[in-house]
Amino acid sequence: MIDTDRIVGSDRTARPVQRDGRPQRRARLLPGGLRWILPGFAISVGLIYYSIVYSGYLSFFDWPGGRALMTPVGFQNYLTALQDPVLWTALRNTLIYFVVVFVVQVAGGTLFAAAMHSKVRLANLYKVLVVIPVVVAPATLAPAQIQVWQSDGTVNRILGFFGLSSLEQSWIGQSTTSLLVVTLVGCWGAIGYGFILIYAGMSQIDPELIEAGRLDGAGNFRVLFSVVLPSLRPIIVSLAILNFITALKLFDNPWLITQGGPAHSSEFLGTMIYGETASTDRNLGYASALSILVLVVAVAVSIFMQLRGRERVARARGRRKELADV
Amino acid sequence: MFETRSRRARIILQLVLTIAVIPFVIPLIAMLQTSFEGAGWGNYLAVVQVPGFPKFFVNTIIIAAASIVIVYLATLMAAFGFSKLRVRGKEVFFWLMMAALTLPEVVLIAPLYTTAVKLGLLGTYWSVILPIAALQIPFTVLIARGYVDGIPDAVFEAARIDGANTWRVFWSILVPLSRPIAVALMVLVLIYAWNSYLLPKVFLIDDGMGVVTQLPEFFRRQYNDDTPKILAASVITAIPTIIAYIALQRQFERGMAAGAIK
Amino acid sequence: MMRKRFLAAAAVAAAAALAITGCTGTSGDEGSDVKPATSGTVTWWGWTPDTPVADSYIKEFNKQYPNITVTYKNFENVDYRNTITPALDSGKGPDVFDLSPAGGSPDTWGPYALDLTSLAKDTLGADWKDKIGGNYVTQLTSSDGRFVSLPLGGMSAGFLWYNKDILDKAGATVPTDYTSWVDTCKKVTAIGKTCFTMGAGGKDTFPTDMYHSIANTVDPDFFIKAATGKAKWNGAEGVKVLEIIKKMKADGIIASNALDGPQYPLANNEFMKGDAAMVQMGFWYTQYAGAESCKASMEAAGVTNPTCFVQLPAAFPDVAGDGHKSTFFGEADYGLAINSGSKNIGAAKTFVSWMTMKNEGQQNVANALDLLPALKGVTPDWSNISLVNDAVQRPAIETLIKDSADTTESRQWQTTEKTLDAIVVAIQQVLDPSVNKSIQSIADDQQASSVASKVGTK
Repeated sequence: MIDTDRIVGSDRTARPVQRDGRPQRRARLLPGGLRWILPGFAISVGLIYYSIVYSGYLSFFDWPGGRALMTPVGFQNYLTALQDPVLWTALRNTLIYFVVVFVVQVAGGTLFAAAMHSKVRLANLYKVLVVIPVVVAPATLAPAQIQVWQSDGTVNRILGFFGLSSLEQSWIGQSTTSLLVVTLVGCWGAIGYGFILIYAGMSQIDPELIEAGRLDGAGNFRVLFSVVLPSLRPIIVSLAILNFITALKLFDNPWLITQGGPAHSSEFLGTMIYGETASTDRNLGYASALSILVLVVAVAVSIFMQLRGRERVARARGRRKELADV
Repeated sequence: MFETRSRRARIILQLVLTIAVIPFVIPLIAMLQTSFEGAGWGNYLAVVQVPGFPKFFVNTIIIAAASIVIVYLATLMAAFGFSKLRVRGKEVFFWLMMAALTLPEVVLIAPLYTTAVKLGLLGTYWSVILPIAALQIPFTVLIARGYVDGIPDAVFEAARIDGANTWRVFWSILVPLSRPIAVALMVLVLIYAWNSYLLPKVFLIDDGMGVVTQLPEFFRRQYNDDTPKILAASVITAIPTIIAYIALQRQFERGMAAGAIK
Repeated sequence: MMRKRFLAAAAVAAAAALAITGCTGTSGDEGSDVKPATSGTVTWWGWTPDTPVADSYIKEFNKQYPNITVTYKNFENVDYRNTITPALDSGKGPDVFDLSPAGGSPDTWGPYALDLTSLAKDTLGADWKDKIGGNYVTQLTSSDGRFVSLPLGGMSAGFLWYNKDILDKAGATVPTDYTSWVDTCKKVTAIGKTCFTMGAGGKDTFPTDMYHSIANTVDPDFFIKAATGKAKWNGAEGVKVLEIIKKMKADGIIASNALDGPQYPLANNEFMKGDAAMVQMGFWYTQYAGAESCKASMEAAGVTNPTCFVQLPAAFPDVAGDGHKSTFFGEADYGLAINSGSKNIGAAKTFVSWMTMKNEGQQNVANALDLLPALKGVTPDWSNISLVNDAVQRPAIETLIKDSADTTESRQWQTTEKTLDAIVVAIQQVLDPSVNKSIQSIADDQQASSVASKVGTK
């Protein structure tokens, strides 16, 4: 009846095509959308925006909190931040963390979700196990993770068991490997998270498309790449944005496991901000300046990702149309 | 999704899955193991004997339930609005919402506290429910919007041609069709609200208003925490969420079966 | 249209922000004339002591003042700082709250508190300053001369604790200098135990105690001079301290897992499990010599059915070898402040003066073996305390108390947080096998990241 892959959603750049090749006129959107987005908008913006403005205001002062003096310092906090080598280490860590965790989350989440959509025994058990790192709070699992990565912990013992004793080292205690530990722990939690969302997203995929792919002789992995992943593009773009924002303000796991150390090697902006508010001679103005930097970078990069994502949706849909035409 | 025609393929898939799950299980086993160290089952006994033990769960359930309802409604309405309706300056609204995601929680405490006092909400559940909802909505709207984008316009067109107004379209078309993603998102909101530590700690100071995340705190000391008991408390507080997840999973399966577009 | 709406909203929010932050509460000493009352309710917030300890203090207090109800709320260190400020600002704060000398707290939170000079005078007399030990009064006075917090107790550090049972089993003696320490460690590791356990990972500042102790053997004045900007961390003494630390790891004194985590739980658990012979902890560790608390802490470290070992203090060995004995250092741990906006100032005054200036209150502190009582002349009531091995531990602890009370060197009061963090980073870089920097360049970075303190240098 309605050919679902001929009609594009609310994307403005692509024009759907009717069977005879003429462009179809865009389905008109219903007016009056404002009242629909207002409740969500009012709650999130209303409550949080005061905090944003407050932080923006504070960032121009030096202030330890309480009744101590608030000294106006203009842009000094921002300058100090941008000249602090620890900030640049944190940004580098953020980038590495983001790329690794995002790729692992999408790959792992998709593979798991695909497996769960197939005929597998004990599917429910696997679904629960993968999700437990998400369900249980990071603060709870951190002691267990710390145990695993100790010099006499599980990882080193496994390495020894497989005869790789030369690789045994103090994973948490070396500035070269501390980021690795934080990133791997992050991946561990991210896969279950991605699984939950991608599993739901897969339900939207038209089974006919997959059948069509198989009839064309495509194997499991070809189907995954050419049919499943492109259909999941919107979720993947959203996950990219979320992962970037998370990586930027990352706090829980690095703080609980390495506290940003040793010697700032696994520092993130989130741990820097927390460290500043946690310190006994803190400067809440500096912490606010860091938060504003996080906000600006996060929004800028997210908008960029969304725009790139839109182009690819259009291109991917065009490509799929070609595939189906063949 | 994976086709497993031959017996061999099925066994390989099962094997790969099992190996893949092992890294997930190791820290969990370590956690369970440590929770039995020291006093063994006594740790769990100590946790259950914390004064007011049931009330912690009641409070958390209230907060989580309220957050989920608010987020669910606000999200679906907003996703509908952003995806299928005309709004002037739509993207500006959207990105203003996204900006609310970017602030770390610790920075929000002082201004939220002032807001709560001015609105007279301090010491009520709302002082925690509303910030939780506020922090989750941008994320859920981001994901839900993408999902609703994937529901063909034609479905909505057909309903409108049949004479349904916007509200009808929302309740009869959007809500059922978006059940899979809605369930997934609500699971994540539930987890977030259940595990929320900082906000309840600062805003729900009165006796009898504690939440489950404060249970492990009974066993924290200034210096040496009683880690086995802390982990026992965490295991106990995690069990309800796992049960809720399993229950919602079933909802989800039903939603997927019923939500077939065709 | 959208833009205007947005800008308007932003302007309103900004105005609201300014209005709310501009609104300060009352800061004053109107409460000074309120007399201590014998009935009422008091809320007390603090990051210390632990709830069970606070409850026992309150129970004792209620024996004398049954009509004052005190409720204590414990916060983790950082949560405390984040919560107390908005609470006090909005008038929803507690009646009594902890206030320590660290990081300029008297200036940050002092303005919310009453000046307690008159209360001290009324309770202890005109010579009240001499009746309170250490330098505590100065440490809890704000820069504008207001005495904002009555010290509950002090702490000291700069010594080691050792497990006598392990040393006996290994046939080793308590080390007094570098070579004897290396020797002891060889013997201890031979029986499969860790010699000196230390957790220097993360951001905790415990490792600075070790730096401080080593520095004291190099040059007794160096640490405080460098902390207050009169010497450089990358001078000859500072470099020597870092070199000694590096040697300690190479010679097997410092274990190779020192960076796997912070002092708590890594070093504490190893020591409490009976797996390590020595650990550097401060006076607060004395409490684990008690028969009951020893069991509890061993169980908390994961030991099932624990049998307590004998834990004893020892002076930090003279690792530099120049004949300087390592001296103790310490300061007020924390004090109690009264919220000037409180509605229960009378009851609060009774509670605070009982806890900090009355013999019965301070006796509790002394008996807990966790802090050194602020009030001079209060010693632990040994008839009420049972140690694991009274004969051996009691005299050692009594000496420890006396030496701690005599100390004049401060621990963290005159060291800024940035300096403490810089010391920790330097130690981590020295101990990290993956870092190849020279000791001099590590010390140079340490000097660059430090900020000199102006406290106590008039």
